[in-house]
Amino acid sequence: MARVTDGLLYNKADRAMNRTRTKMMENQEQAVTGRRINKPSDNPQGMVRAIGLKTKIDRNEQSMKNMEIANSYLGVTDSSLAELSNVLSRAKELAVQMSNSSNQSPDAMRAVQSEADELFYQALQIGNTRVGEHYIFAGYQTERPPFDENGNYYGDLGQIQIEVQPGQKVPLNVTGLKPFMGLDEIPKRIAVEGEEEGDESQAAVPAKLQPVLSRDPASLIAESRQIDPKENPEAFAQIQQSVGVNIFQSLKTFSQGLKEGRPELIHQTLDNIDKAFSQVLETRATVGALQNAVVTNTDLVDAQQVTNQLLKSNVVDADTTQVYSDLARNEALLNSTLQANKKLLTPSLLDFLK
Amino acid sequence: MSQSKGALAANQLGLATTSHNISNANTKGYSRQRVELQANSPVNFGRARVGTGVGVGAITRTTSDFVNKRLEEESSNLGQYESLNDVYTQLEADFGNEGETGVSSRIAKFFNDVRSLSTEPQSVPLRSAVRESANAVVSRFHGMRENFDAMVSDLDHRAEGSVAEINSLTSKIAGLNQRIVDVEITPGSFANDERDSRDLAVKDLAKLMPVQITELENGAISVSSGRAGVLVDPSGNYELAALRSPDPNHNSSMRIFTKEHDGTIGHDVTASLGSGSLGGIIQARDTVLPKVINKVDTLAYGFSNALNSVHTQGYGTNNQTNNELFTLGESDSVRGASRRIGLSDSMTNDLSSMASAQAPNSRGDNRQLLAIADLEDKPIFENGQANFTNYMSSMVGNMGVEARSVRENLDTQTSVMGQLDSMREETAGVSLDEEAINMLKFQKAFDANAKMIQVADSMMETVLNLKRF
Repeated sequence: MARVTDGLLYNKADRAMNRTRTKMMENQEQAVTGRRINKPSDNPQGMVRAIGLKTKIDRNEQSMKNMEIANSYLGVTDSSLAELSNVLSRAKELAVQMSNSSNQSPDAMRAVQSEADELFYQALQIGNTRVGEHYIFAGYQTERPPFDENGNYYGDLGQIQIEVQPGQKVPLNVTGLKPFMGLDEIPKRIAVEGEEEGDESQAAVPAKLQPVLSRDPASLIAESRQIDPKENPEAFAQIQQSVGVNIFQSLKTFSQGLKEGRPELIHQTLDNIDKAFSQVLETRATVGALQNAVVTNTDLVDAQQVTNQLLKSNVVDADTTQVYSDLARNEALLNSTLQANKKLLTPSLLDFLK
Repeated sequence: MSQSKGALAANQLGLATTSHNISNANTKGYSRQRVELQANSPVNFGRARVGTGVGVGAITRTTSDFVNKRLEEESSNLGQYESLNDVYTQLEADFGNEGETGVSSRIAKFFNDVRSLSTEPQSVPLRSAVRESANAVVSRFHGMRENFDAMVSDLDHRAEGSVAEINSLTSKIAGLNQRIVDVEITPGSFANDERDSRDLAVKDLAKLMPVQITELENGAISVSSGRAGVLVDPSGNYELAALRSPDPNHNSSMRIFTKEHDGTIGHDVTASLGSGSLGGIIQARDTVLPKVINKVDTLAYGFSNALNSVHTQGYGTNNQTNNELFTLGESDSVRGASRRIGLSDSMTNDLSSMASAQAPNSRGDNRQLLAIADLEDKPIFENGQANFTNYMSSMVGNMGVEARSVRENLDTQTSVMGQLDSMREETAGVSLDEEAINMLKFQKAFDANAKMIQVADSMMETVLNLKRF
């Protein structure tokens, strides 16, 4: 039979109480912090997942913010282009009006001409639309107005992209080149000088910007490709097919036609405006597609966010019911340990030797 | 009557021992003592052999050498796990909130701020937000590094304290050796209380470093420990020395040496201490922490270099290129990178030098910012297996696994020690009930013997009064 000494009993009681108190402390920590994982060793794999999920959640939040900004950019771009369409339809209305009636009074001609000039400035203002500090139709050259008072373009073809999801980027701008100038590319030789030189050291010095001139786009392209319209009429016709219309130039031509009373210029304007409509519409379609991409990704990221939050909560957050029932159970355990110790430790033969 | 007188003395001794036991019921390391009574040799009385009463054989202690030996061994393991657990607890406190405020979340915040800037590359507030979050990454690296350095120096101090404790214990054991030999030179006398103290000192010593004990004929013990060699022999104790000597291969310069009687320094035993809390301290300092420090250094080094390599390619809004974002100070090595990392001068002084564009003169160009943000997913660590977040989270995960296994070992070891303590208690512990019974026993025997004297006395009186009749 084993000897049961007082020291043994005290040690046992001490250990049992400590064990229960340790458990209760863990329960309490979970209850207080509301977290299941309070240090890496609580659940190493869970900790790894929690860190990964936290990173994902934060990144998605940033994506959402970026997409909000993209949305506002694209929204402003779209409404600006809609306004541009309105300018074009008013111009068309006036041109039709002027080309139909044969004898116009000079006063009426002057009135229409001043309205045509007004339309030119409206189009210019639309081209220099800003969101905050940024000129949205300027490509990367967002800090300066892309169009000067003659409609020469100082921007570039820069596409400002933002990350909508890891590894996926969407542009938030369209340049003014396509809708206003009818160009898909910047014609060489008359583009920005620094880029053409292609020399790093020179490029680092602020280069004097050479604008894309406000001219007939077909002639610009032909000039940059060194095609003489007279010598090579087929090639020039092809270029004419592929490019659009310079809206500023068309509106100027209209105004000039009205001023000088040249009906052929007004007719030419009518043709150009129809072409311009389609190029503006085409750009709006592009903007619409981008807006769509942003909206789709917003929904997707939103859904991901919910899932990630849920996953993280599953890994990290304490199950409150569980914690409190554990706490209650351990408290009961502690009580019974204390009760048992009371019974065990009190009686001694010495108590009875009185 | 003289028989009873001897018995009275013997039982009184018994009561004294009981009282000694009861007094020491709560004394650490005390072994209960017992009076060994033996019958005196009888004398021949005619044909009958008549007993001559009781004598005290010896006062011995009840102890189990086997349990004591196990306690010494397991103490060493317990000490080791306790030291390691301390370090892991500190490390865990450092990395417990890694997901929310740790370096990985700060790096993620930095990349998100870069993405935010990419929507408005020339914005000064957004640029300054990026710089702030870059600073937060740097200060977290510095903070971790300072913590590690503080832990290393704390471990050094504790190791020095342990060495001092070892020296005081070995000197105590040597002193007790001497006293035990002096007492036990008399046959039949045992130095019970000195032996208890020595056992306790050996057990305390074993908790600091593993020991091998050999008991000699005369009752003295010699103590030795692995490569540190003999710590105590009959001639006295050999001290250890904790010395600081510059050593470029270790984070700390504190090393432990053996020492001769005359104070000359022997060989370096730092790496071969084995278990025990001192061994655990050294293991934490020279194995556990360097691993973590190296990981954090690698992260700081990789982070700084990866960002610089992309950042130098781009152009700031001031049209400058080839500017660095971070600096690693004077030396380009992984070692100490987390201490040296900082924001580059150009970044500290001029926000417009933060590269955003891939060409000069285009302030709206955000391509370089996107390229920087893309680095977050680039697996530049573990041979192209891990990006920043993976690297850090797997490091924290591994630390958690290690901390958990140390804690489990510690729990196991604690319960093993508990078991052994119980076993020791079973043989050596004082039971108050038992002592109460002994007390009754000796008291009754004392009473009975006193009665015997009374009876003998009255018998004598009877005899003396015979002639009156």
